[in-house]
Amino acid sequence: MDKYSIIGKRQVRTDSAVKATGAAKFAGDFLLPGMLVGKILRSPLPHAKILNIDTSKAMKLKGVRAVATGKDITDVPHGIMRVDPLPPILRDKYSLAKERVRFIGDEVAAVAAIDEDTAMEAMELIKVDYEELPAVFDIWESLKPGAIQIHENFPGNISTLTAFHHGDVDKAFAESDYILEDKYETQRTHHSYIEPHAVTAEFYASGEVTIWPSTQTPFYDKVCIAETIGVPVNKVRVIKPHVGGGFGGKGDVHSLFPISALLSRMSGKPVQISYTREEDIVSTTRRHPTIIEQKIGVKKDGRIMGFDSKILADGGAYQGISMVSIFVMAVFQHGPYKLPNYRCDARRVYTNKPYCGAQRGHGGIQPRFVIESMMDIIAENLNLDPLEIRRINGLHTGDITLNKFRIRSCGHIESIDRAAEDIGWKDKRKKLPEGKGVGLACNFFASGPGFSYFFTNPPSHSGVNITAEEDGTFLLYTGSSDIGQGSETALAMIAAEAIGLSSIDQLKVIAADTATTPMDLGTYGSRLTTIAGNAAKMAGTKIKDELVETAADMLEANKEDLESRDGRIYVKGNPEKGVTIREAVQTRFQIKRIPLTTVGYYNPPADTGDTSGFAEGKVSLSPTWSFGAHAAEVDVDKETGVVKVNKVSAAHDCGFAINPLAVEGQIEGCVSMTFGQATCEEFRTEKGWTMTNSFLDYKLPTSEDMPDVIPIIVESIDTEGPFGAKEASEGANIPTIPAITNAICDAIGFRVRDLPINPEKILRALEKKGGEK
Amino acid sequence: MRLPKFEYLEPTNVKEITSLLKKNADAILVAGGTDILPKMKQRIVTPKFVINVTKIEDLKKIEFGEKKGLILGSLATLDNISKSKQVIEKFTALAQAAGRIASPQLRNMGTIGGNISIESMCMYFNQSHEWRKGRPHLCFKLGGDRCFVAKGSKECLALFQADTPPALIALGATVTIVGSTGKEKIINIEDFYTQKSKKVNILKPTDFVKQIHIPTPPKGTKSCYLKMAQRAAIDYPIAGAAACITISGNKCKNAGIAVTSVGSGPLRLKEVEDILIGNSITDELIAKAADAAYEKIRPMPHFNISAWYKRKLIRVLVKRSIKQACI
Amino acid sequence: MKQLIELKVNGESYEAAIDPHRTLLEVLRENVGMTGSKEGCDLGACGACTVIIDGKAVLACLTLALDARGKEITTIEGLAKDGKLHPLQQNFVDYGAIQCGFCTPGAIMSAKALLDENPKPTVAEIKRGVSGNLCRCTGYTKIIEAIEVTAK
Repeated sequence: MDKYSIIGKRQVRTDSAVKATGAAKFAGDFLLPGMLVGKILRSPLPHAKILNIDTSKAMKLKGVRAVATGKDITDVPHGIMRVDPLPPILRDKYSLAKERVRFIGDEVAAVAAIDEDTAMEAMELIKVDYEELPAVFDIWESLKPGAIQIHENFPGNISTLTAFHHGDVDKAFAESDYILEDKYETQRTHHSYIEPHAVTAEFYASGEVTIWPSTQTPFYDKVCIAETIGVPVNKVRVIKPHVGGGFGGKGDVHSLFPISALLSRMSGKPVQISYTREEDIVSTTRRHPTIIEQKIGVKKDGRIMGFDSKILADGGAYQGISMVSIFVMAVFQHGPYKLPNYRCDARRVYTNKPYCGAQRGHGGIQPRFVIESMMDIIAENLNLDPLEIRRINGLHTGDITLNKFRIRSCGHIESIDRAAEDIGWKDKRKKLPEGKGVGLACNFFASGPGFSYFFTNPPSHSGVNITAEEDGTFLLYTGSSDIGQGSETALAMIAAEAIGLSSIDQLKVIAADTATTPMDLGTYGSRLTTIAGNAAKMAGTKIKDELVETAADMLEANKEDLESRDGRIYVKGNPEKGVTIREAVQTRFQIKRIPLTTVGYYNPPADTGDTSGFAEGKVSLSPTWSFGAHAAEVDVDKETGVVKVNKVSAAHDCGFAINPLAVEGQIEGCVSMTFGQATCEEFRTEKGWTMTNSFLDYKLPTSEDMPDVIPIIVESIDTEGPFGAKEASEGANIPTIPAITNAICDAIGFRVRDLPINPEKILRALEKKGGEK
Repeated sequence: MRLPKFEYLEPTNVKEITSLLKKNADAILVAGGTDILPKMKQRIVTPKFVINVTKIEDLKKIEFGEKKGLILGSLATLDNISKSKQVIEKFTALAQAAGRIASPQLRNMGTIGGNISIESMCMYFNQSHEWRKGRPHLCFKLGGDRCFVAKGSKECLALFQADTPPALIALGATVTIVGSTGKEKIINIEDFYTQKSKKVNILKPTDFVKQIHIPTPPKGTKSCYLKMAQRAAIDYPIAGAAACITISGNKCKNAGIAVTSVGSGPLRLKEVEDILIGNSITDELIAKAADAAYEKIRPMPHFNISAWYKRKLIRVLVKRSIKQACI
Repeated sequence: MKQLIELKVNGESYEAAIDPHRTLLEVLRENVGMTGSKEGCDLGACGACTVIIDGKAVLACLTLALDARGKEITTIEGLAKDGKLHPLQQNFVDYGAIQCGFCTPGAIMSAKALLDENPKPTVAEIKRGVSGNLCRCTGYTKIIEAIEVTAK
């Protein structure tokens, strides 16, 4: 008999059928009676003072029902960085600009009209008088003394500054046998979920408002909407509909949510705002572009002595969530290799461009590209095997890193071995003909943040309630947000296993409605499986415990002797002697006449989430950590410089795969996103204008571009995650880029140091006579 | 993104197209709509009248006869052309070019008449109304006074990127244009292009393309179109090259070589053809021909692709397309 | 001026009074009330609005509604019959080809058009068949697998 009945098996998702038929309702699919179309007027200038906004002509246009400007919202800036010790000035943006616009695309006014044509016409009739200000587009210009200040509270245009110094790095370098200094650049990328941002809002005469946004964080949205439009938080109900992908891009609180609520209040009608793709690409967030100077000192045998990292990130016009972005870029360097000494100085600089935030693999992508490239160079120069240098430096179960990360389970070495084996490392590395090569890189990622940067005192990090129905089925209430990753199915599996059900069909998940489901912080930091999963497990276990008690009475047995599994509660070793879950539920109801509802919750353990060392970068950030390794095989066309990635063998240590079908899907999706960043995606601006504002110019990989992706699930059985599970949705995004660039180096001896890898770069390198190793 | 408002007209025969075009100034013909509707959504084009010609079945034909050659009605879809047995066998370069345009859906919609008439493209031109709003200056192609691709340029340098024109040039196609009087004019496809980015073809507002004709290639002829784009689908080419080679008695009897996405129009490379014609095709000769292509073209950089790279790429694509056409 | 038009969608007739500048996608979503076809990019580069017209997969965002009169339009809503999913839908579900689901209707419509024309496609033909349908979640692996299984 398998250890488990439900988890660990390939489970079809609960939301698939409704999505396959087109019946699933996304935020822009609601058709409410009398609904108006909302549109947002944006700044056409990169930096300007707003002198006056005249909306009178627009208001007079037939069919226009409301026109809103910054005067119609409260003075509370929105944003999700708000708890101590973070300073409140980190919230530097309004849903509608108050006095100043800071990038082309900044929200200036909004219109609600009977249809889209009218709304568009009305936007042309809003007259905005601007006083144009000098604008800076380049970080070096922005950092110059005397440069125009983009935000008064941030002198020198530095939006975030961190300096983490652990150990004695200078001494470590003095004691190193070999020191490598190198410099890398990464580009801006955009999440480019296929569903652009959208929202439907309905404000009622009672003073309450219901909002259906395309979001990852409904509980944050609720607070920000309430603050922006000036209503009590309990009057705002956010219901997350199906969400067409997010990848971090729907985790910040975006202006359209409060604006839709505001327009609905002003017009007395439901309002829907659907971003065009151009609006979405221009006005939402994106991954930080960085310049990273890194110094690594090692002993002759490859043992790392110290890291010194200087990170410079172009943040764009606003802060958003980027305090976290910079923080994690610095601290995620503490794995998967053990660092005895570490120094990181990171700066994020404001410019008058669309602003940056979190994207899948948040904070891992940029430094990991650097470190994994450098590990290969070090190995080459010390004549070591690139796999061996990664093995000997690897963290192990039980390790605590310099900055307090606790390693509770570790599949680092198994990931390396299995990825290498799948790609055929032994037979291929340095053995393929010129132009062909293989490369490998590792990863390390958090399984959810251990602290909340939004709520100072959340009731818990995640709550799950389970209620028994009279027929022996169950309702599971969770505030967590499935945005396509399959978390609702995973939670159902975890809870069903904990209760002892025979199938997840006996358990219905009701999710992400701020009025009815217990709070969960949201979908970010790859947190749901570990954090909401533990809450679901607890609620399910409590149900089981109650039912086992009832069954013990029914069977006249000791409850310690009973097992709940496959829909029955029975005496261990004597499955014939038992009752069904349904019978147990009904009997309990008969006896007690009390609803059977359990409350599950999860908070990261006491040794996690202590933020007292936040300023020094010493925070045991996550309950537990994922590991992994990708190996890539490439073919370089030496005449054209075109790199064809044939295959990526992607090993990921997810602790335990609750739903292997979904874990595979996460790994495959992760690889596709960073394959895109490696080879074809680049968000470009010119003097503040976004040049890549369509799917023709912002290039996502197509089905014909993708390499074969082989997902390899590594299970290290974690001690903190539910049934041993850790994250699987972001870590696997991280090693793809350096695996590819390391393979290119194996193929043609050229080291890629800036992204994306376009054919021209490769051809230029090839013409430079072999480049350098 | 909504389309701008317009009046809709739907002619049912060829004559009606002409009379509608004559009667209604500021009208635009729409067939597949794949090029024009995005431009209308972006408010680059805001015609008063839209003339939907897709109801004219006559213009959808793909006909082949040994004697008469291949006749493609201007509304023949790119998908149908790419999958036509005769086109694949005898006009391979055209099937390859049509079959690699954009995506399956766009090939099902897009027509050959539309593809050859496609406008040149540019990052400063193919942008929305919202994007243009705050621009202090517009480019030549938008009616402005400058070119942002090359500062100081006296003319528009938008890039012509269609795939089928080089194939059609290499295969020796002609285009039948119906003018305002209803009179038909047949011209070589090369002469269809002005080599000026601001207005890439010779069509007047009252003209339309009725059909394309390609003579049956002589025995021993093979052709090939090679495209390189950033992605395997959806994208326009960074560069494309077509070669049509007739071999007779070990010698190249005839050659047609043309490239796209290097300048203001598709470019026939006579210098390259001349190197091939009359000689036996060897690797050395092909290399020489490819070098001649490299020397001949003067591409403009576009977006993140430099002129340096385009020239290198054209040399490779010309070489490979000739080779494939000789296999 | 608005015109009264009749569209044949999934075998049923629908009437709508529309302006000539309305696209088929807008009319399907706003007038017919079928929101399964999605607007992902507005400009023909993502495939989320793919429907089948007279047997061919086309983009509803670049099709004028007036042009669709008199044609057989099939949308994602028309595939399941008698409460039973179409084999493609079932395999997209069973093989994990659906994550966020926003590209799914378009991808399934492209796959259907492909299999209707070429019932036994190679993997390369499948990849090309859905090359106009961008998916950001799956990396396409499981979409291709689901189509492959359906064709078997």
